[in-house]
Amino acid sequence: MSDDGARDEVILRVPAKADYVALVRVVLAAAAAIDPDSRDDRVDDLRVAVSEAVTNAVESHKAAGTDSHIEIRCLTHGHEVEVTVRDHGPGFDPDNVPTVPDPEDPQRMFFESGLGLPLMRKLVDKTDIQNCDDGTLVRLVIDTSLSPR
Amino acid sequence: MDLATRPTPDGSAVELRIAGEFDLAQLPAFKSASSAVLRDGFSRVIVDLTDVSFLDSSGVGALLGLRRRCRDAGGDLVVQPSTVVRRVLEACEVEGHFGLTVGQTPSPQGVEA
Repeated sequence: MSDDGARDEVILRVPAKADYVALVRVVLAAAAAIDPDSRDDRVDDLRVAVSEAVTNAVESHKAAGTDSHIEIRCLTHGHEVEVTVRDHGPGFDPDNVPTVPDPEDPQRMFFESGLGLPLMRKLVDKTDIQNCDDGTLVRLVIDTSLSPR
Repeated sequence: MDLATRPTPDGSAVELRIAGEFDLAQLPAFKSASSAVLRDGFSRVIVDLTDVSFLDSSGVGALLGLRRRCRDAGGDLVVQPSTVVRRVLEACEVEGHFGLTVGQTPSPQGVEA
């Protein structure tokens, strides 16, 4: 990782297929771990959050019936890692997803989908979701030198 | 992902052992194995995830689905988590609803509803 204030950038463009989600995880985790001060548990949390974002993109493309690729961009700067995942699916309204019941609510166990967005928000420091003209842009930011949230 | 099933010694439950990464790509294999277990008449299932190195919400959702099906059939599901699995279950805030065991194979009584 550069220590001169510059940002290092990794760009991936992968088919919208489930088998490629693991590839993205491996590459981004390796990029994040280049920082010698990065914590393994924080890199693990980033792996999960990235997996959620790319999985949503794969499923979005499947729903839209498009064979477009998914673009993933990773910027590292100091201890901070910023990942963006851009898909070309039908779009997504983060304010219009079903509310996950409280942990103590027995109904929580019947909430078998829709866990990805809350999980991303729980694991990384910042999660932004933007609807674009032809898809969705998810942005994840994490400081990998800090203790897990 | 490696996946194997075997009945417990007394035959009252089945152990479903998974190793490797458990994400969207592995759901078809997991759902197929889960359906086979239930079709064979088992409703008490021990899911051994101690060798799982990665889990995301796709896998959590699949575990919740299997737990629901086990309970519908009169049984239950117990999870033996790895550190990584436990972290994700806790982050999803569902760990309190799973019977989590550590270190040893639970007895069949451990999966009673």
